Amino acid sequence: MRSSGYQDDTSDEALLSGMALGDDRAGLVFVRRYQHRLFGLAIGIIGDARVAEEVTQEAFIRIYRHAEVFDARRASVSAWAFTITRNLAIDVLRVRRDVPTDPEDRVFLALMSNQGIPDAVVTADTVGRVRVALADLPIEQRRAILLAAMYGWSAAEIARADAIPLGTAKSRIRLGMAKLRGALEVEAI
Amino acid sequence: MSGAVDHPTQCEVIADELMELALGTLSGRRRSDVLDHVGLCQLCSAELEQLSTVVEALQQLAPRVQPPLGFEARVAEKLHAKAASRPRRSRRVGALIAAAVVMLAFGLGAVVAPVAGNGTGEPAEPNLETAKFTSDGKVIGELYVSAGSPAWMLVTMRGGGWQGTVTCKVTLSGGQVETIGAFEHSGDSTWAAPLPSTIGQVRSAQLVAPNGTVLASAELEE
Repeated sequence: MRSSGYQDDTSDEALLSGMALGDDRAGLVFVRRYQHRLFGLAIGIIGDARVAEEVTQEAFIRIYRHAEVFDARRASVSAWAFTITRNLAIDVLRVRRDVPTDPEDRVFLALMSNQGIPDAVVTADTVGRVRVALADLPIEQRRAILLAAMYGWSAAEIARADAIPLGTAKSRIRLGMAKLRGALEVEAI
Repeated sequence: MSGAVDHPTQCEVIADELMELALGTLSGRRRSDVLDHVGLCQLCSAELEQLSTVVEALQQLAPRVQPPLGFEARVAEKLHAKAASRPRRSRRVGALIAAAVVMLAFGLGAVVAPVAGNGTGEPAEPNLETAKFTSDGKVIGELYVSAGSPAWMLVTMRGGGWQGTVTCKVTLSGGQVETIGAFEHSGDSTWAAPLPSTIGQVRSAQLVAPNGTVLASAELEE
């Protein structure tokens, strides 16, 4: 697409600047760039295409509306976009259900199974390394990490769901995160 | 700087909560307390950045999925409605400054200080120099330059009788000309870029076509 200076290779930050200026065309380029990834995350968490679309639409609206207060010191644009989508999806789930969702969906099972992830997965170095490190985690740590990172479960919720002491849940998250973080340090060397 | 040397106990105490913060599962008062500490402690700030990178990567492991047919059009309609409902003044002042803040933060990362609010809900206005881009005496856009640290510039261009690549060059107070970057122009453009910290004081800017023709220029006041 070529319109008003925004192209497919325009950087995320430039698009966000355009959105902060009130230019919806920058937003549209951003939508084209991220729709598959954000919808993939939303439907992975929610499992219902219609609700996942509503969540993804709302995520793009929020990104557009809050572009001017985005704080790049705290996260990258993509991380911010994923977090907004994830939080919206989790909020919807919690409204629809009294208890945290049982994440036995396709995405969760694929990530838990230690099998290959679909080809469409982002293959950036950092993501790739985390993916490999995740697959190497003991299954209980992998589950705790995924429940927290993708589904927003607190340590207390994990402890309750898995019938384990709170300290054990925290320990699984801590140990798992430490190993994933270590994978990034190897990358940096 | 603070950190383990100055207050090791607090760093140790919040270690688990730092993970919860990165995971997005820390809420309420503890979130606020941990953020306050992170703001003061470089070690914990660096740790949070690493942990956040892990969480970002985890979230991106979800496979890409094609949204339902018509999704893009439906979002575009909503975005357009949002854009149309924004007050013009907000777009011209507050949003420009906000865009600059985005550029600041992206261009040079952690050295950026937050823009203070002015009590009205609008960001405070940083020290901006502005000028009009003119072509044959006609105004076709605007130039915004922040000479602070970090420095940045933002260009708007409307029409101008040109479609295609536009290179932005600046002339410094010493007379040197520097090329800052280029953008694709097609009717109505907004483009921003950080300026190298060593660039010196910008006195004017030129928008240049690929064949070297100066499409428009803007002079900042002395």
